[in-house]
Amino acid sequence: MSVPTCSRERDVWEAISHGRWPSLADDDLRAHVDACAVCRDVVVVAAPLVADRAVASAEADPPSSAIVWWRAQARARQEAARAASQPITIVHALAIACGAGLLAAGATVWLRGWSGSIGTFMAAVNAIIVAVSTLDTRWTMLLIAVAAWMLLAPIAAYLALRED
Amino acid sequence: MADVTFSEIERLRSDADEADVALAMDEDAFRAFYDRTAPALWAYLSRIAGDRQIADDLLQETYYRLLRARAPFESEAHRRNYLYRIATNLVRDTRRHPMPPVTPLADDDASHATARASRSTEDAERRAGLRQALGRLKPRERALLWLAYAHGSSHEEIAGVLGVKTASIKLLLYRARQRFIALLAGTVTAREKQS
Repeated sequence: MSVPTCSRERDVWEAISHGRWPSLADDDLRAHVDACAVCRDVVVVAAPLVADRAVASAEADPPSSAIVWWRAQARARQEAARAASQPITIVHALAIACGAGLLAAGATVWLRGWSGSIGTFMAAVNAIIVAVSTLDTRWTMLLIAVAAWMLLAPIAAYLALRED
Repeated sequence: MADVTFSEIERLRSDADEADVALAMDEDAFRAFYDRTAPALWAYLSRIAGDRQIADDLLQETYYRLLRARAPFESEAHRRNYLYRIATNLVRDTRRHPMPPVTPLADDDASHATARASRSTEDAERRAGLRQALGRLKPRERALLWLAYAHGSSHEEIAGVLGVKTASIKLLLYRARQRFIALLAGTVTAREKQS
C-alpha cells in the first residue's frame, strides 16, 4: 500500500508544538497546509494531542526522584535477599525428603512385624555386607558417603536454619 | 513532584544504607535523568493507560526496571527510548480491557480545582471528545499517535519503543491517524447532535 506523505509534515508539527500555529506560522506554511491533504490531517491530529500533552504535563505529579531511588534500592535489596535464600530452601527441602524417606523405611520394617524382624534384619545386614564386599572400592566409598550424607544432612540443615 | 515526609526519607535512607545493591545508574545520574523525564513519561502513561492510578504505579515500576536493566546505553536518547519501551510493555501487560470512553483524569483531584475553573466549557468538551476518541483506539495506535504527535518522536524512535520495524511505522501511523480523525469527527458530530 502506498502511504501518502509530505516532506513538510515535520514543519507543521513544529509550528503546532511551539504554539505558532496558525496565527504565527509562515504564510508559506499556511498556504501549503491549505493545499496539502496530508498536512491538513497532521494539523487535525497534532493540534489536540499537543494541547493534551500540555494538560497532562500540568497534571503530572510524580513522586520525587529521591523516593523513587530509595524504593528501587529497597526492592533490589529484597530481591537480592530472596535470591540468596534460595539455596538454603533447597537444602531444607532435601533434608525433609531424606527424613521422610527414613521414616517410610522404618515404618515398612515395623509393619512387617517384630516377630521375624531380628532374623530378617540380620539377613538384610548380611546381604548388604556381601553386596558391599563384592563392590569396587570406589563404589563402596560412594555408598558410605551417600549413607553419611543422608544421616547428616538433616542435622546440618537444622543447625543452619535454627535461630540463635 | 509529590511531597515526601522527612521521616519517610530518613527511614528509606537508613534502609538503603544497610547494604549496597547493584543498580544500573548512580544516584545523582538517576535523579537528574528522572527529573528530566518523569513528567513526560507520566503524561504518556496516563494517556496510554487511561488511568491516573495505573500511571502512578507503572511510573515507579518503569524506572525500577530501567535501573535493573543491564543494557548498555549509548546516549541519553537511547536510555529514554528504552524507558518508553519498558513503559509501553508494562501498559500492554497491565491492560486487558479497552480504555474507558471518558476518563476524568484531571477532574478527580482537588489540587486541580483552580486550573479546572479556568477552563472553558468548550475546552472541556473538546478534551472529552479527544479522550473519547483516544479511548476507542487500540493501545498501540494510542502509543503511536502520542509518540508521533504529542512527543514529536521520529519513526526510528517510535519503532524502537514499540518494537516494530522502522519501515512499518509510516503505514501504521497513517492508519492510526485516519482512524483517529474519523473518531474525532464522530465525537464532534455526536456533540453537535446533543446540542
